[in-house]
Amino acid sequence: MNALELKNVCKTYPGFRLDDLTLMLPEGCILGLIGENGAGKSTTIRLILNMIRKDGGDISVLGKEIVKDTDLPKEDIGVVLDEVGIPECLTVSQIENVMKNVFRNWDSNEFHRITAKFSLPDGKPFKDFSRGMKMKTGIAVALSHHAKLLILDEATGGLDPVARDEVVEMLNDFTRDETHSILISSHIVSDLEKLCDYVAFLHKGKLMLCEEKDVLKDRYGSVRMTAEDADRLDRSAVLFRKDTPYGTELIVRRDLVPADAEITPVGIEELFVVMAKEN
Amino acid sequence: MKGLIIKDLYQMAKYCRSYLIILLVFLTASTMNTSQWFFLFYPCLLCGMIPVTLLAYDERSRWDQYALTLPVSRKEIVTGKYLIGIGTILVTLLISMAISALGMVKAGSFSVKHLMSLAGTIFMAAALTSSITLPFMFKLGVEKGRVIYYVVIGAMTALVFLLSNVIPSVQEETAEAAANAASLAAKIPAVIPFLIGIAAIVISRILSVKFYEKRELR
Repeated sequence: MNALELKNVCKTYPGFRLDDLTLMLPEGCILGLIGENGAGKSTTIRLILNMIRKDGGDISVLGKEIVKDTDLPKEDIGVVLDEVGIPECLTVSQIENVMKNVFRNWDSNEFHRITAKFSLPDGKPFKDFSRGMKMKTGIAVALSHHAKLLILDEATGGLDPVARDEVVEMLNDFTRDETHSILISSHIVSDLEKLCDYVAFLHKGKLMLCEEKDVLKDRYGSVRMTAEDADRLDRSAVLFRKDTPYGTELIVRRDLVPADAEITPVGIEELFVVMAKEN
Repeated sequence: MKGLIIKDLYQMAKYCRSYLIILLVFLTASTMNTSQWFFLFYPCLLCGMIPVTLLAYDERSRWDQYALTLPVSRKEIVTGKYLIGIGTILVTLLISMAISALGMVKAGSFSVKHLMSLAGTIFMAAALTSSITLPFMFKLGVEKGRVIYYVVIGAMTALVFLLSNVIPSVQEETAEAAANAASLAAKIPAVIPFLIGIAAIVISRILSVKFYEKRELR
C-alpha cells in the first residue's frame, strides 16, 4: 500500500499554479519534497491535509481517498507545520493536557520521554521557546500518538546542527516500523539527503522528478574533463556543463558516457539546483 | 472537542483577565447607578465576544491551521467556540442577575418575573451580538472581519445605552415608572427573548459551520 498518492493534483492561486502533481510515497518509506521557497511544497502539504481545496486530481492518504475533511485519518497522522501552531501561552504540560484530550491514542509516557530527550522545559510558555524548541515540541506531539504517517513541513528549519541530528535520528527510528512513513519538505537538502528513500523535486509549482534517492545517485554523476572531450559527449547525456580555465565540469547521465570516464557521485542538492536552473 | 475547550480555557485564563476587571467595574457601577441597565448589559455583551478574542489568538499563533491537522472536524472547531461563548454569557448573566436581584431586594421591588425578563433581554442582546459577528469571523478570519466586530459591538452598545435611558428601571422610586416597567415586563414574556437569543445562536452556528467548511486556510 502507498501511504500517500497524489494523481494529477492541481491548484491555482493568483500568480501561482501547482500543475498536474503526481507522486507516491510507499508505506515504510521517507519521501523528501525538495524545492525553493514558493515552489509549492507547503501548498502540496496543505492539499494533502485538506486545509485547502484542490482544483483537480485525486489524493489518497493511508489507502483512503480524500474528498472531504472527515475522510482524512487524522488519528494516524502526525503533522508539524512550518509555524508549528501551538498556542503561545501554553506550557509543555498544558500542551499535553490538551493533546491527550484530542488524540484517542495519546501516549503520555512517549511524550514525556521525547520532551525529556529534547530538554524541553516545563513551566515556560511556548512563546518564550526558541524556534528550535518550538519545532521540537511540534515533533514531540506528532510522535506521541502512534501515528502511521508523519507530515513535516520545513520541520528541521531553525534547528541547530545537534538538534537536527537528534531529529533525523528520531525520524529514522520512526520508520524502523515498516508501516510507518514520512513526507518531509525542506529546502535544506542535506537533511533530506541523510533521511530520505525517495526525493521529489518541485520547481515553480511543477514536479521535476520523483525518484528513489539511490536510483538518482546511480543514474547521475559528476565528471571533469577537457572541453574537447566534453564536446564529443552525447548531448542528452549532459545535464549541466561549466567551462573553467582548469577544465570542464559536468553532471551527466552515467549510462550515456564512455565507461572509462571517471565519474564521481553527485549530491542531491547539486542535482536539484542544476535541474531547477535548466527549467 | 474536549481538548479544544481545554485549550480555550487555558487561553481565557491568560488573556481574558481584563474582562474580569471590566465585569467587576461595571457590576459595581450598576449597584451605584440603579437607573442604568447599561451597566448590567455591557459586561454580558463583551463576554459574548470572548470567542472572537480567542479566534484572534488562534490566528496569531497559527493554531487555526494546526487544529485542522488534529482529529477534530471543522464543525467541532466552530461548535467549541460557540460553547465557550454561551458559557461565558451565562456565567456573566448569572453574576449580573445576582447583583440585580440584591439591588431589587434592597429597593423593596424584587420581582422574579421582572428579573427573568431583564435576564432574557440581556441574554438576547449578548447572543445577538455574538451571533451576528461570529459567522463573519469564520468566513473572513479575524483580521478581515474586525470591522464587522467593531460595527456590531458599537451598534449594540449604543442600542443598549439608549434603551437603558428610555426604559425605566424597576428600582425607579416613582410609582408611575415602576408601574410602566411592570407593565412592560408583563407584556413581554421572559421566555421570548431567551428563545430569540437561542434561535440566533443556532442559526449563527449553522452559518459559521458552512462558512468554515468552505474556507481555505493557507
